[in-house]
Amino acid sequence: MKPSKQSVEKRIRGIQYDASPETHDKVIGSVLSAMTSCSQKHSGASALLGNLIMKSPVTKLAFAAVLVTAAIFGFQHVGSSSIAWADVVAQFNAVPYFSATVYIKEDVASDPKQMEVWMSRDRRTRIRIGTQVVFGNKGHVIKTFDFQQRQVAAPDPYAEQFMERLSRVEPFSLDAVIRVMFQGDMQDVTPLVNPDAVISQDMVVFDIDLPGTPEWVRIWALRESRLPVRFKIWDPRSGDGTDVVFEYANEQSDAFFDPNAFETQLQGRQNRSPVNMAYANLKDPGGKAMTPEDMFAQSGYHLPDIKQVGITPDGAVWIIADKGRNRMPDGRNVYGFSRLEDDLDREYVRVYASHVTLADQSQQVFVPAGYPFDQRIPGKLIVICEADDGRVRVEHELIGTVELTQWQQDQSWPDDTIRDPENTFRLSMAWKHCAQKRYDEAEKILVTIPGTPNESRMALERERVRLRMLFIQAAYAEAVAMGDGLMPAMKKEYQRWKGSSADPSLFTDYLTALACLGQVDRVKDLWQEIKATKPELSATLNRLAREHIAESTAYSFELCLRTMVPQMSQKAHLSIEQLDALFDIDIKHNEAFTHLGFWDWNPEFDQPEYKNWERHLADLSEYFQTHALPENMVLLERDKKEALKANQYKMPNIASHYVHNFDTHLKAYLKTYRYPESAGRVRIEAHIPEVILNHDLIYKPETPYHEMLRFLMDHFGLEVVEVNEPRTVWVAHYDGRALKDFKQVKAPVSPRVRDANGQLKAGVMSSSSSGGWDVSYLFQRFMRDQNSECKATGILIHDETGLAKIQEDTGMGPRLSRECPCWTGPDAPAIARKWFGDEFGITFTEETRTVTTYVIRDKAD
Amino acid sequence: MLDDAILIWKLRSGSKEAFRLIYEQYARDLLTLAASLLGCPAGAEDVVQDVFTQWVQAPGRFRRPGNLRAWLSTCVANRCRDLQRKDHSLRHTAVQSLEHRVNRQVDSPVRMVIQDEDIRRVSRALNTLPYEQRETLVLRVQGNLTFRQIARLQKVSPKTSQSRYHYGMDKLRCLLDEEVNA
Repeated sequence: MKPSKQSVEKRIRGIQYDASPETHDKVIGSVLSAMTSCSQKHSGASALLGNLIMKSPVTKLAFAAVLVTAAIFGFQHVGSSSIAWADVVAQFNAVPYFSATVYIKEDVASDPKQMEVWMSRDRRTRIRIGTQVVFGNKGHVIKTFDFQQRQVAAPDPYAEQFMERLSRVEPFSLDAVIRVMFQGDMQDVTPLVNPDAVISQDMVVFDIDLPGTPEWVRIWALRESRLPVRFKIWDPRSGDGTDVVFEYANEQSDAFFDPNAFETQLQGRQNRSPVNMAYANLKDPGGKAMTPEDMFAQSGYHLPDIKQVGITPDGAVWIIADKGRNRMPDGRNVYGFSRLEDDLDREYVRVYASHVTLADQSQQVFVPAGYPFDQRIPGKLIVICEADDGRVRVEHELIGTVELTQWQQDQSWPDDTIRDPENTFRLSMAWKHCAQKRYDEAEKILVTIPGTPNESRMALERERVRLRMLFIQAAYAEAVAMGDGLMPAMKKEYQRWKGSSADPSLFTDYLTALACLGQVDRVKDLWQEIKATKPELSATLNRLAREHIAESTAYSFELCLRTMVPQMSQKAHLSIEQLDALFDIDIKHNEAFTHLGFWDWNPEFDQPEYKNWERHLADLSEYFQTHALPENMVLLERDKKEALKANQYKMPNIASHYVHNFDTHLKAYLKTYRYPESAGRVRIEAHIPEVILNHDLIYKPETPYHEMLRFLMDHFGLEVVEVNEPRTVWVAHYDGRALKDFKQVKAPVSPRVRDANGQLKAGVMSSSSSGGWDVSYLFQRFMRDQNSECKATGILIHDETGLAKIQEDTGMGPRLSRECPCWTGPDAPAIARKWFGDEFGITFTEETRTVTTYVIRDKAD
Repeated sequence: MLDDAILIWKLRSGSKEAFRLIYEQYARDLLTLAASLLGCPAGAEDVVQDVFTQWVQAPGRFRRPGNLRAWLSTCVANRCRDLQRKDHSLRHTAVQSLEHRVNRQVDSPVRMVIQDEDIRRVSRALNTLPYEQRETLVLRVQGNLTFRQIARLQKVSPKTSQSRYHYGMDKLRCLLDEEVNA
């Protein structure tokens, strides 16, 4: 049988030829010798040197640099052959400051690279190139920042070379420029007026012909003011060249050239727009806005102008407002109002927001949390406008509030405004309840939506919410049964022309549920079928529109995979290989997945520590080919110490036992005994020595972790005993106040500093979570930190706040705080009392109670 | 490792160290490419030496940082084709000298023998292909050039390059199949 194409390619790739080291040395020697003789030959030949120098794009920039520099400091030493040029020189001397934009093109077809240069008369320089801002003084780079990464960076080679050339032009004169550029060989270079190139009376054009090369330099100057406005360096052979465009103005402030001032702004949180950073402290001479910050300074914030407000019979509040757009200092916009409150203290959810650009009109709909069943009529509405830049840890800046007492009760919005029918808001709320696992609430809404999925899109959406609820609850068989029935309607909806690209995410829950049931082949067939399905397109679309939609659809498939693939990995435990085969992708080399973790792989696992662990597991598996596996557990000490990071616990070919890596201080493991319920109540007796483990625990999968720890203790001659003893306990009470949005709750002490021993100070943030921390976690962390030395003498907290239940009942979710503070040290209790009281209305009464302490000690004989 | 763009820039400024780094990075691949195209290791070494020598004498010839490997591969292919045209005997050069100098990457003696034999078979089969097909296959597989780049080098359309590749590949598969069956 003929070998496959892939196999032949592999075999061709396998042909590796290498010469002997002697041959390599010979070739290198020969080439270097040719290089030397070439440079010696050309050292006396200015033409080729000029050519070589000017051929380098970097050098072209550098040449532009010295011309630019010479311009500001005057071409005093230029020959006197041209009076007009002398006038230009004189005018230059009067200019206090200038900036130049340099464009360099590497060949006729390439896009130009741009560099912006600002220079003061005392030769302080600032350059913006790419994402870098480079500060220099007298031709030396002082500091470079990458404003996108917001950190100090190594300077771009172009900018560095530019600065370096500037440092060599000393004193500044054209002679010096020429000497630097042509190493003293070509001093007879004088700009001469080129009358043929002049096309109007108000412009004068000078040419510099570079001896020995066809390249030339042209300078345009204004006849009246004598100021040059443009330089051009051109190579007629290849069409590559450099253009320098000048701007003249009053000098920028000292802060503009000060890298420390720039760094301070870079570290500030308010300058999120890269434009603000690239042009920080730059003032346009004509007073125009250069950055979003400048625009904001001119406009400020304003309250949208409310034109119409109404409440529908179902209780949805709709607001139509002119002047709806507010620009923020970081360049982003906020539209309309962000929140709504009423005198019934109801929580509202924004379910629709739109902005009509030309009319600058915002259209929004808010519904109460109990929508559509809460039809109480408020006496007052309070609409709140905030600058929300999307950062969860930053408090939104309040722009203003408007109190309303009059509106159109039981009226829907005008026909030509809000586009969605009101039924969609029921679905929005059902999705929201579903996401927050309030399935009864969701179902209560869903039953109000009539129709069958085949006839009504709303009904299809209703069933999709139900399918999602089944999926979240891991009722995969029911989800698949429902998905089977919905497939014809989903396919029809997928194909329907909706004015934009088709959305394959319709199918993700169904497909993932199928994968969770192990029906991988069916997932593959359906995925192929969906990909092969051609969505309908409007007949009026032109070719470009069709191409755009095809591209968007392809992107939608990619987004869909980004959701589905990790879910299938985590929930269905499909391996990377299975997923690759299933979706015809290469996860390990696909950028879309590089930031994601998979149950059997993530990009970090390519690090040597993980590879060591995989190899170690294979070694253990091999060991157990000739040794009996333990009945329960066995602790094996490793022969050698190596860097291991465990990413899995299964040994190859062994399903009955797992491996746990114990590789740090014994006490670090012991203090987690029965955590979290034991928080603050584990005491490790002081005389127990510090042991650093280098062990594998081989255990059966069903073994609880505390049993593993007991086994570990037993191995080291330790035991755990439970003793009842009196302890100081804070009993926590809640005063019932309305809680803040958890995203606005931060640790009480900032900035995040450490003490002399490198420990975090009491009250600073020790961990943060975008999902927020609940009351149990906050209390556990307090008790754990109070017992960081494992003496079991710190303060314990007994939770009588009832907050967990209150939050569950009200559907507020369990989250209290975005950040969890550190509570070690003697100052911690006082700071904690204040923080819990101020932020959540939690107060503590102190008692002495008898509680169980877990004492870890030497085993009794 | 320094970026190619910076190495080239340094080379243009006359840095010998930059040349050494570039040579170390690309010489082996270029030697492999030339040897596969010519079927003659001595010729391959000459070609690589010529390509580097010509380049350092006029480093401005290359001006697209990022494509240095493709550009050097193209230079090697051009030089090999020139040699091929001048010296027809190269078309049938025996591959023995190449075979004993292949880089062994296996540690087991048995596997080494098997691999040597396999390389000999593939090299022999490659050498029997028409030069254009061999060139296309080698540049595509060993040089990692795109069909568009190969087409530009061969002064043909990308479709022709693709056809040459497929014809060459089919022929190679038949030849390797025959050897196994024989």
